[in-house]
Amino acid sequence: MHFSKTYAQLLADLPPELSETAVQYRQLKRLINQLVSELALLGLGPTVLQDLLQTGVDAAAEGTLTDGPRAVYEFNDNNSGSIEPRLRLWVDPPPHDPLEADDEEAGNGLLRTLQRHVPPAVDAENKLEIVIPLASDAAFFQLLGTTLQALSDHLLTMQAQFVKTLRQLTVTVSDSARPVSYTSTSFRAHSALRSNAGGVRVSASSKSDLYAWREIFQLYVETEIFESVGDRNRQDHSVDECEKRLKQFTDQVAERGLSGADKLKLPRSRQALQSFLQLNRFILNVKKFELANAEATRKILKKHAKRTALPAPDADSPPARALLPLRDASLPRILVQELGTTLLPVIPSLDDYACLICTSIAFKPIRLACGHLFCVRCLVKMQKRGDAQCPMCRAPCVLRADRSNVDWALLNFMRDWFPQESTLKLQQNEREAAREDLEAMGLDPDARCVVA
Amino acid sequence: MALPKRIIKETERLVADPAPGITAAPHEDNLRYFDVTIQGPDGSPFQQGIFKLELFLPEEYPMAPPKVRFLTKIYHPNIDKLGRICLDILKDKWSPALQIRTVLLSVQALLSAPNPDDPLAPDVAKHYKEDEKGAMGVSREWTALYASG
Repeated sequence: MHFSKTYAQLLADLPPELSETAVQYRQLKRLINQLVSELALLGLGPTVLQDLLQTGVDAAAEGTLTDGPRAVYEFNDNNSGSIEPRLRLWVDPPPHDPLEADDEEAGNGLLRTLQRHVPPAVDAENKLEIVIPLASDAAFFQLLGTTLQALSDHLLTMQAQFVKTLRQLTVTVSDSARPVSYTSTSFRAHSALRSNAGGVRVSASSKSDLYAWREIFQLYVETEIFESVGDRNRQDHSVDECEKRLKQFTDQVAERGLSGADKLKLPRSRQALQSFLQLNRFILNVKKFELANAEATRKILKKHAKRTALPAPDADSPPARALLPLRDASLPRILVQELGTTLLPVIPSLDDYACLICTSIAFKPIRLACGHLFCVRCLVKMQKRGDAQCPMCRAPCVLRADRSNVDWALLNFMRDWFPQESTLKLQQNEREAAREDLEAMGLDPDARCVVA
Repeated sequence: MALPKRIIKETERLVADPAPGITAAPHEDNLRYFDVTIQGPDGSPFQQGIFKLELFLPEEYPMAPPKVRFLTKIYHPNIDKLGRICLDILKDKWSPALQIRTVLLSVQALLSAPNPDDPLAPDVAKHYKEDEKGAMGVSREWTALYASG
């Protein structure tokens, strides 16, 4: 299939606010056709031009004067912003009476054709120097340049819009996923002065969508829709892969009932979820769009060079400067990052509050003198073994830890944001401690009856 | 007794996102026992070798270190004939913050950086100290002989 068809189809799949600003491949192709006929009219078909330009390149490289005609493809170098490509040709002057010299030598034939169109300008180095402005070529670069500029501006606007929507969404999500302290009047903060660490209890009842949102975000992070962060393959995914994974995520959310009223109790949560999915679809579309435009630009420049024999502009020539992408990172990546730094942290993630030793929530949280944090259960085990060094930094502070090392602020935070996990961990801790006590007394904790 | 959550998590990640050049799979009938392979690091005499190891998580893990042993014969000053490894983090320098993954990466690193001053195999260490080139030659031979898959 021709690229122009593939390209048109790709754009047709995208929302109009994107596709309307795309690189106009067909129009650019038309301008190349015009340029080709313009050159043909001057007798400068691709083969002729190729030879002339090659001689021009050789002459410039050797710094010597060569026989025969030569040409250079150049651009105006005023900083006017407009791109004016032109051909500069040097040809041997014709015999005194041009009408009599009727030989079919390439240079003369070319010159005769040219003389009919462009008056020779200067006589230099015994050669006639002719400058031919290339109108269609100028139009080509103008169109491509302004399109890419407009495109980049447009994407900046879209980015601003994205960020705005994301901010709103963030407010909604944080509002509908409030912690226990907000939804339950029975929540009281503990402190070192008023509480006994042994008496800490957690209430898990809550009328917020905290847990549904946490599950949604965890699933989202695990699906790695746009980029992988594993040890082996840290990379951006292809458009197809992103599309597949986004669908997989959407399906999973539906499958687990996370989009329904059962789990997302608040109507504004359900709306927010749709908005979240939309933002992700938008990122995917931008990714498709950027790829299509980059491909269209590459293809059209290749076509330009192939059809006319005019070489692709140097990296630092005016057209190349106008065509260069204006940003370093691609927009999809910026958007994914924005999403990851703005929205996702609204819900604290369990991984950030896990004990490094048992990998469960670090409840009750004990902060060692060195600053590292573990759950009380793991530290008690270490103390019983006589292990003195902090698992993280080997500072000899484990045995010195006591109830004054309880991190009360964090303890309250965990009760507030992880009521279910904290409750469960508390139960596990107690069960495990009871078991160890029995074992220490020489009794089998699995025996049915311990009272004789 | 049920498998602790930590071991389950570690196993899942080892299988889903293995460290480069390292595989570890638990036995079906004993989830604390792992079959391990480590690729010899590039630039070492063990390059292109695939070394088999066994790894066992004792009851006290992660308070106590895993037990790791080479099953493939290897000519290395810190690994003896029985495959036992002389590596501080497997002994007194163990920390419960370390994991199966980090342990295996350390073993892989040990292959790149033999330490003949703290030998477990005195004859190999002596060879490495007196004639490093020749000793590395033997290591390469053994790799080709025993660890070529």
